[in-house]
Amino acid sequence: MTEQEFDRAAVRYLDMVYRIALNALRRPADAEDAAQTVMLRLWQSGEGFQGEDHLRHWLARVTVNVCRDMARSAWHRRVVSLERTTEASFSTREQGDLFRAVMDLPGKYRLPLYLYYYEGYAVAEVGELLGLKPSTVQTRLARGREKLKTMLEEE
Amino acid sequence: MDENYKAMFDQVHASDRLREEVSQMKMQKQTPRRRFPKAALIAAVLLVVLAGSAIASVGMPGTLRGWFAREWEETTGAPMTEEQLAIIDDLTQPVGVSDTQEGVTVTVDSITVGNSTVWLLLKFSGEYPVEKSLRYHFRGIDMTLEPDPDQVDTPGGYGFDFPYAAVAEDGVLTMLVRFTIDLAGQTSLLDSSRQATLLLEDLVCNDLEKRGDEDVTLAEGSWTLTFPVEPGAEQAVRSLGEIQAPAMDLSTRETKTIALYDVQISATDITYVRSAEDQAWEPLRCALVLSDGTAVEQGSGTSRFWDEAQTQWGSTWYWQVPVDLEQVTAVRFGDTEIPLSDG
Repeated sequence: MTEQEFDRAAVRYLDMVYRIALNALRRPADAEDAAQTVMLRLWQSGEGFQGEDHLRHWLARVTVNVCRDMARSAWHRRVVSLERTTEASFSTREQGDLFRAVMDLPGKYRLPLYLYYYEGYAVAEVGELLGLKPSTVQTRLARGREKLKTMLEEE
Repeated sequence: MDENYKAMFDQVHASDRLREEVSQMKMQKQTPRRRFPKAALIAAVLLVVLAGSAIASVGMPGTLRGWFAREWEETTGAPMTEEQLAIIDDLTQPVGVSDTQEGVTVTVDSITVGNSTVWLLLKFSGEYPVEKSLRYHFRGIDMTLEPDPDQVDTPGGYGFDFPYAAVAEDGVLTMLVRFTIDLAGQTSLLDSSRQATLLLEDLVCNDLEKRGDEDVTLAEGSWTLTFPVEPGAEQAVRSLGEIQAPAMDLSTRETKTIALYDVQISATDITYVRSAEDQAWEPLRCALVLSDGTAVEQGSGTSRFWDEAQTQWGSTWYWQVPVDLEQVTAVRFGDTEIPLSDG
């Protein structure tokens, strides 16, 4: 990968990598660490990509795997105040509430929801990325939505 | 939900700092890609019922005492002495708390509690694939302690290592988890009794020889195990006050001698402080030297500011196994050995 190709990939996909990591790990500081690791792997990979879809899918897959490794032996950051400073700000209060509700969902629902609803992956593709059966993905999407609805109604 | 959800995540971006750091990555050398063969994991696996059945053992000890003795021998080359074993016994307590989810029972068999670390021996029973080459772990793990031992208001943290997870000598799938917490030298897990809540999410595995391959889910579920963490018999702490130690700036590889303050050595870790100006200077690798000449090296470690004014940069390094401080004659940083006075 040339420097120019890497720069272009960073411009296009760093937000996606960070958002997947944020959904996987929940803590912005951990998500940034994961995103850095993923982009370093991209730079060092020497991988030749057969188009944008291949690159995007590779990044999504590597991000999921890096986050999995981090969650396995993650160093858990405890102090909330610093993390809040790197948390997104939203244009409406409702969006801020929705973000907090999403982040309060159990981990196993956040990532399927994000990959399906935001990144637009099909159920089978989400399953392939997360190592889950399509039926499990369907169940998690349904339960995740249900829980999110309940949480937002309770606020 | 679609539109609101999309509009919300449209506003979540990587920070400018992260973009800058990613941009700087191009300074690093590119390496050729390594390719791993695709895992043919499930096909190689037999489904067995573990509880009460005879399973080929990989020879790992099924007790904390046994595991520490083995680890000691592997890292020092000498058998663990009776004095060392007595320390392990002092710090170790049976637990026997279980939770069953999806047919898999996880039991916290016993724990070894140190100054700022807890080793947890977990045992499993239930139906899931068992294969020597598989690496078992949980998709998620967390543990909280009540009351919270961390009394310092600076960024700190806690973490987990998995020294081993395999079928032990007793034929039971056994997992050793090490919890470490940076307490900024202010408190100790040996100060008072606490209640621990261990949360485990989804038992998974992958192949030891194919690192990076996808995890395979063995049992979905969330196990919650609550148990007491009691301080064991009172342990000696060796205080060195201020010492001079060799240190390296990891970005330039330069070395120099720096002052370390409040140096405290416990059976399970060493803590010390250096000034904020010396934050970039990392003391060289630390080890305890015992009277018989064996050395016990530091394992993982962590650093944080010990004060809110951010003048004291404190570090904690954990010994790979608990050490009988009566046998320690010196502490070593790199090649520099600092003798410990008696008592």
